[in-house]
Amino acid sequence: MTLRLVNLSKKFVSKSRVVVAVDNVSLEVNDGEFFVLLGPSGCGKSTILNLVAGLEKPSGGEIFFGEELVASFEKKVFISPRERNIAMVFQSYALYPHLNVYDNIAFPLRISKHKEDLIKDSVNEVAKLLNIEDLLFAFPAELSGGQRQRVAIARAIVRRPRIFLLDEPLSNLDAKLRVSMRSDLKSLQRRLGVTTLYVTHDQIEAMTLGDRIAVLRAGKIEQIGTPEELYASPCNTFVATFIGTPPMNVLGADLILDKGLWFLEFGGIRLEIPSIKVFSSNLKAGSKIFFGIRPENISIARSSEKAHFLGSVRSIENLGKERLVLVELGSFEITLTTKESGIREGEKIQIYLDPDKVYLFKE
Amino acid sequence: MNEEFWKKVLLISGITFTALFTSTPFIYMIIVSFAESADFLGRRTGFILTVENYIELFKNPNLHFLDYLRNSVVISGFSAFLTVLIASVAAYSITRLPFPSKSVFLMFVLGFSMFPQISIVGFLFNVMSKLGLINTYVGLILPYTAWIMPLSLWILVSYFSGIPMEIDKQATIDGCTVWKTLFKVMWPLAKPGIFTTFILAFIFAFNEFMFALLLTTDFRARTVPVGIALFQGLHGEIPWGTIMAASTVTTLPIVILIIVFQKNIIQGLTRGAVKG
Repeated sequence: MTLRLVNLSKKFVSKSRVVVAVDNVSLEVNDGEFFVLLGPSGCGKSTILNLVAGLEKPSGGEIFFGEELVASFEKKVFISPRERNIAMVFQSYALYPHLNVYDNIAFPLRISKHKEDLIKDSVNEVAKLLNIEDLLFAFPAELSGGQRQRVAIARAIVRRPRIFLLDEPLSNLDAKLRVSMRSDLKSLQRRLGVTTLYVTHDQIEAMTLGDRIAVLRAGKIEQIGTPEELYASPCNTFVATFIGTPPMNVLGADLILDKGLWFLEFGGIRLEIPSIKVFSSNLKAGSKIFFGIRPENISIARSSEKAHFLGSVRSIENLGKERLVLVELGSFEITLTTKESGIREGEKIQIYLDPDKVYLFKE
Repeated sequence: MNEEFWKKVLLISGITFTALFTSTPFIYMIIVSFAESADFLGRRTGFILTVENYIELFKNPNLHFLDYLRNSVVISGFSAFLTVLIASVAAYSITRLPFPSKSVFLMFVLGFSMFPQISIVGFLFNVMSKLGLINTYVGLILPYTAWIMPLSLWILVSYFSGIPMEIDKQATIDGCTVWKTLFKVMWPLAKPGIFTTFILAFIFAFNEFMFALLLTTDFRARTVPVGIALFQGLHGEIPWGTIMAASTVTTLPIVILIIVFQKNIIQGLTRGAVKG
């Protein structure tokens, strides 16, 4: 089942102001695809999920499930959530506290009046799939976070939904569990082959889970692409700094053309960059631009001839396998990662920026 | 004697005083109900234990005590049921649906409940007689339901607002209509609150005096409080022993109810205050 959003908008009107939560969003999720909506809190990603679920009505645009129009502001079409046959998992799991695990999972089937023996088979099947067979008669309050999560997912998939919606489902789990649930979720989705729309603010989650990712800001899509595309060619500074940890360094600079060579000039420093970068980015000589470089593409130079700058170390964070070093370069600060352990705070070090790994942005 | 000791003494004497102060009328009521003569303190004969008052109460058909009791239970039960039904639907919509000036609405509801009963009795009597509802169960159930509604609404609103919105959303996605969400999800979840509301509503209706006095003229719908107040002896004297026996019989179930469910009742009443 493909999912198609066409010029979708949602406005919330309160007494004092109008908030545009979703602003003219169009995207298409392919059949069986794991699609992630990624963005900071308040960017409208959960609202999009609610619109797809039918928990909110759009203020503009249309939603298609396959060829079926399920919501349209202009054509005044609105299929209720009940009739959309979708499943949703919330951050808080939203298990029914008064029902045990079995009844929780059976709930959607009972509401749609399935036969009790059929329900039993379905519940047992998904319970086996999610390894919660031993918990069927426990109540939600007796379960750990990870178990609750599994129950919520079981309840979601038990009635074979057309589209699977997940709203930050891993946010309440501890770090270790999150990693294991991530891979479980991915393999489960592969096995079921159900079209999935997944909302998160965590770019690592997005990168590891998503077949494709849409990066959102203030209700608008900034970029859609595979994790590799977003990492390798971000379209603007927002996407560039949002994808990747530690985030990309972004600095303002002047783009200079001097005797046929292209330079970035910032803080009294000139950095020569390959001309192909400039041509492909459609920027003009003499303009003020931003350039980005990932911390792993900045290195500490041993010989000064290869170095671009001299900076002083402001702080060092030990991440275990490497160190995150914050370096002060006059009025700029940049972070780099290194495996070297001999660096001290306050020390002067030579820094080399790899010109081939520089990204150029208009804004 | 250290400070701890005196603190304890003060505490225990405070509790004892309060307990005695509030329970003395009840203890006296029970004693009198078992006394052969109500003014046993002033007589030489003193206290003579008897169950004659109770036998009189249940055996004397002219007293209609069992009629009153049945009327009270039926009227209070129906009023409480109706109140909980309406208040829970109202509370659900108040907490779930977006409508302006919710808090103003709730304040108004509370404000109306502060009106003294006496201010509406004239009007109420006219309406009920026009509708031919004097001396009927419906004639008491309707005003009781309206009268208990504000308190019930407040308790249930605080209960429902404690249930996360995501549960509603989940129910909607699982295929529930608004009504199914209310009955299959919200009601079971708010069970303690609904139960408390029912008990409180029942007690309020059971104890109510003024409407019952106003809207009933004979045993067909007259409730126990009014019935007892109008007990008369054969020769016009006041039969204190029987009155006290009747009071004991009607008070005990309520007291037991409150003692058994005091945890729920206190929780129900303070929930909004504590959880905000």
